[in-house]
Amino acid sequence: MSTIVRRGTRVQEGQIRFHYDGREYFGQPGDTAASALLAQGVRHFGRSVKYRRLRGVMAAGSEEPNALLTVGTRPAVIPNVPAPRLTLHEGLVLRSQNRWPTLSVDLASLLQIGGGFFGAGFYYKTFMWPNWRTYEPIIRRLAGLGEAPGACELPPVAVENCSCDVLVAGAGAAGLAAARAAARAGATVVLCEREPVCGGELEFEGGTIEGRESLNWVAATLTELAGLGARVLTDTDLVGGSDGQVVLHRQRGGIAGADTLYRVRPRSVVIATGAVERPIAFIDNDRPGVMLLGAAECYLARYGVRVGREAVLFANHDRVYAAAARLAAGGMQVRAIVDTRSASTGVGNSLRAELERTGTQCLSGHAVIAVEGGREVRAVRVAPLAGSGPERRIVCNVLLQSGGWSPNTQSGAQDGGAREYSPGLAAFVAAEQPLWRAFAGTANGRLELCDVLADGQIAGEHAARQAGCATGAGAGAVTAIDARGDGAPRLVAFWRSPSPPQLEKKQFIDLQNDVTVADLRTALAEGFSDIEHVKRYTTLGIGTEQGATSAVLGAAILAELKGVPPGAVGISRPRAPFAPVTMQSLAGLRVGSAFRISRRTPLHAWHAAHGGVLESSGLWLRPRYYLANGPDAFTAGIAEARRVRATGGIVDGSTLGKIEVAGPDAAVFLDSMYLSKASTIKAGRGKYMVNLREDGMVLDDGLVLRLAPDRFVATTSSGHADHMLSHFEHYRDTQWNGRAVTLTDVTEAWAVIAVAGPQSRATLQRVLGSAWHEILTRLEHMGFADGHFQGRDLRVLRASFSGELAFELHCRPGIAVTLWQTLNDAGLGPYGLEALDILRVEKGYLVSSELNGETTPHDLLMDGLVKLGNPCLGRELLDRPGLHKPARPRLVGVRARDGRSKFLAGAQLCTENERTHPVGYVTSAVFSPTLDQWIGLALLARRLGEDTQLLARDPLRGGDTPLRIVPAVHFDPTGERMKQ
Amino acid sequence: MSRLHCPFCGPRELREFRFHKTLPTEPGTAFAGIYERIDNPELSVEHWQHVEGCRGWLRVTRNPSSGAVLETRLLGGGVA
Amino acid sequence: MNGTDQRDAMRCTLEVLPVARIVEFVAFGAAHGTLAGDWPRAAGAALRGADGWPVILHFAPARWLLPQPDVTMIDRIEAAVAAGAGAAIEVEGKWVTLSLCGADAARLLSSSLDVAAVLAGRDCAAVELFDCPAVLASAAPDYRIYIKSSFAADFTVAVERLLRAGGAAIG
Repeated sequence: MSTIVRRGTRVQEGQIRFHYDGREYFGQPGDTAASALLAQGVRHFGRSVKYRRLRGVMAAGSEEPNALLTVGTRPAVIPNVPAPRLTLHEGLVLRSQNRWPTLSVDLASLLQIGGGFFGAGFYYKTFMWPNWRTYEPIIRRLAGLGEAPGACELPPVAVENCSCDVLVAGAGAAGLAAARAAARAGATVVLCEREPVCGGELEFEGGTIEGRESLNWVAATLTELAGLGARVLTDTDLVGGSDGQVVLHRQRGGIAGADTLYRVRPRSVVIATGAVERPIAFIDNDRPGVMLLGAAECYLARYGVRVGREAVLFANHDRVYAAAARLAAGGMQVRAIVDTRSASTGVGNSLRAELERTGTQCLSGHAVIAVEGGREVRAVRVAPLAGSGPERRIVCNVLLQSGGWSPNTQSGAQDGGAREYSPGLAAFVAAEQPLWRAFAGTANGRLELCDVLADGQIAGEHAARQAGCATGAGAGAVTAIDARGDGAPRLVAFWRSPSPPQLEKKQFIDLQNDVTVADLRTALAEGFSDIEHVKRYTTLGIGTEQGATSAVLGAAILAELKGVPPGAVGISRPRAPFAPVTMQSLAGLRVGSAFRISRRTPLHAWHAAHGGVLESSGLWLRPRYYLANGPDAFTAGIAEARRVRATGGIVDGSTLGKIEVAGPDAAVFLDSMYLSKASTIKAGRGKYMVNLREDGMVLDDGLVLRLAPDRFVATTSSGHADHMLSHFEHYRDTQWNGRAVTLTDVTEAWAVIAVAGPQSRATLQRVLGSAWHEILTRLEHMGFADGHFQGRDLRVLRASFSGELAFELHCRPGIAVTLWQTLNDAGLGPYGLEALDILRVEKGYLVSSELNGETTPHDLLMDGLVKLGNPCLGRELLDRPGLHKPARPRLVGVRARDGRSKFLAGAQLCTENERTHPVGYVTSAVFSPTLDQWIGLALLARRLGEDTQLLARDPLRGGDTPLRIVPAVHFDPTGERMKQ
Repeated sequence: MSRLHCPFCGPRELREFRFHKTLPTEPGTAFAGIYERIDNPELSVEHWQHVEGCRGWLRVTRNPSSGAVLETRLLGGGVA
Repeated sequence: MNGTDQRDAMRCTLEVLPVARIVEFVAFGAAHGTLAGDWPRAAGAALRGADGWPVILHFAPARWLLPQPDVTMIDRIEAAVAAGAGAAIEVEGKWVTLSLCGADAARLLSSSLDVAAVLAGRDCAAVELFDCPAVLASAAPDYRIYIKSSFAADFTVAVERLLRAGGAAIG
């Protein structure tokens, strides 16, 4: 327990207790996991993914490559949370990753001593003998970054869809200036900032802006933005987006729980996300204690944490001296400053002299060659870059490095944006961008405060103009005086320290993926020279920080190895999400039952309450069978089908598609949509009709009922309802444009109950009352009558899908349950989809298995319909020779030759002579209780005769079954039962 | 292109629309229009339906190579 | 600290309104011209009743929704049909009428789509809300939602999930 209260811009007094790797630690309110653990001397935050080397914190933001922690206890764990982003709260449980059994003693790292197995592309070259599957279980255990949560309830995510005129990403100096300029021009502004507070580097670098102290300026600007109606979102990262949409992710405290995903459509975007400090490659530059210089300043200023007692600073620019002075003033002892620039580039300044006076050794033209210490930095070795001179060993416990700054141009590579190399900055900046996106500030390569502010203002005004707002003639330049003296950095590019070839494999570039200089050399030697290929082959920049710290360094070193300037190599394109986002955040609201919507019929509750086993049929939930009739679909289906043929039953057909076609031209319109004429149907009657697609294939079938001269109801199969509606709508709006015909989907305006079986009529007469008695007696097949049931609309149609005497009741949904219950009470039991299928196969009726879009009316034995048919859509191409060849399929019935064996839909049909060349396949197969054997429908090559001996081959589900061909109508071929 | 301007509903997300077909670039037989069509990579005239909105049918003229949408027009309504 | 706190419960309520009769009026071709007076002609326009709620909604080309039409409305429809302007289809049971009222109604709907953009400059719009086809109408700050009835159950579940308070942070 630390008794010293640290002071900083983010921490307050107080104590928060948390656990890390099983031990208890304490932090202050406002601390992150990184700051609190660093404050208590913890140096180890995990092991690397390939080599399992011990790692510490390197950065102070989400670009942190090493210190990824797992939050929570199994199974509700969130992996890969960067420690610098993890705000502490009481009781937090944290664990380091990639180590077993403990962080200090890791078995896998012991196994790797001396091994060079994991170089670039190792999986192509190693673990081959005898079979790579021998190694697969081990590799699976060792591979990956962190562990995924098990089955658990994670906190729900909020989603918001919105638009604005200008989106500004980043609320540092440039972002605030841009947001203010855009808001003053009248634009609606959304400003997002990934940290919990706004201000960016102004938080610790200070300065004076427009006469105010920098933090006061930040506060005043935020107040003004609030007054102008701008929306400021903190803890919010820009994580991706494309085609004009930007995705923001808000994660309070950096861990899942209370996440919000924003999908924003801005008219224009200003990217002011700053720059990420760049490391330098030298031997063992990944040891715990090697950190970025700016990060150390962040920890000191924000959290009052000194990241080490004795520091050595290593950089290639002037700002290292000001940083050293600040760190020394904060209580750290700066042993040495290693500046790679030679003395002749004029780096002498008063700060340097002052530092030397207080005991800091300032070396120019030198570089840190290597770090000593396995578990943490103990010393560094420094050597001159030119000429001869002694190699020195400087004892320290933290090495702070800065190779410059890489502007955060991640989104600048999307949507047609380009990036180019800037030699002055030794980094890549955004080049050509679409008009609606602009970069500002450090993200745009500006390093001095006055330039940053001016850049932000210009970008904000430009963005507002792009969004259509009028801007005034310049609101006046933003005046800024950088009082801290962090002037021009005068940077000279430096990428890696010299090293003997055999130690290049210890010079790390991408710490998260353990990519070293040796890997780049290997990739080049093996023929991968394009940066995108090198990225994929070596895994450079594919981790959670998407190359924020590693991409520029990797590209520059690759260029050096190739002997070309960095601009010639380019950098790889980062992929969204640009900061770690949990899978759950991306799923948004589509979790649990909301993963997939389902549709319910008006009788749904009744089915659920009476043992109906509901299954998805497309989006609809429909009962497959009822538990009262059997324990499984097979048994219950047979029992239900048997009962329908014996006495009767009721089935819910509400999913049937129904389209009301109305208007003076309705009849002629339908004539052109169906193979047969609709105009010849008399009012009060229906007709079985078939639609063709343009290419002559059968699209769907259904009944068309004529209600009046200018009004019809066209029914479609349940699965095709939406498609058929679109089909009709398309023709109405193109070929039939301007004619008086309307189409209305009334599928949900009518519930449908089919009453089938020998007792159907008698039961209906009892239930519907005397008004219907006569009608039901005299109703002919395909006739219908309109009336009422308990005061509500009822239409009774005599039609059969089971081959039994049957009636379809179309009623308003409000009365459906009452009607259904009344029929049930009167002795008719419900049957489900399983029985429905058995009954229709017995009668050779067709469903989507046969009407599959690849069959013509001829194939389906509808020659009669075609002959009588009229010139309709698809008729022209139906007559083409290709659809009449002997190889075309023909619908047949099939049964097992032994009258007993089972076969299934999908079985391929072969002849006895040609067992490997299918001549057709089984489209539907059921066990028929009526015929006491398996029966089916099949599509078989037309050229084969009816006595062909067939073999149903089903290699995946077992066995071959000899079949014989029978008529497609297995039962009651003359349809006597229906005509009673 | 991730938004289409539906002439009835206004600009909407692309996922609300369903592509139906590309029209032939020159008049010909029904067979040619379906099976022998050669599309123009710079200019495509297509039929889309706003299925998750007003269910209106749209004639969309666009440049498939660049993704730019040149024009959207509502089909039907007696207007050519 | 700035930023809206999304973890507060949504302050709004969802209520099913029982509606006995709903009619869709569909015009023939270019027969719009014969629709008289204040019949909403512009896309997305609605004629509002005395209580501010829409009584005729122009939610699709050549199609109007008339929820719970009163006697005057029925007369207008019949006149339009008689004049050959179009057809009136009884669609009772096709749409479930819901009322979403409260300060956070817009925020709740924004979870599914950009409500402000969709209803910009119009009174009603055909949309998909939480994957359910619907017609959305506004009477700020409240909304009336006509959901296709087979989707109503899942829609209500989706809304009620959002109406409950957010979960606690993972610990």
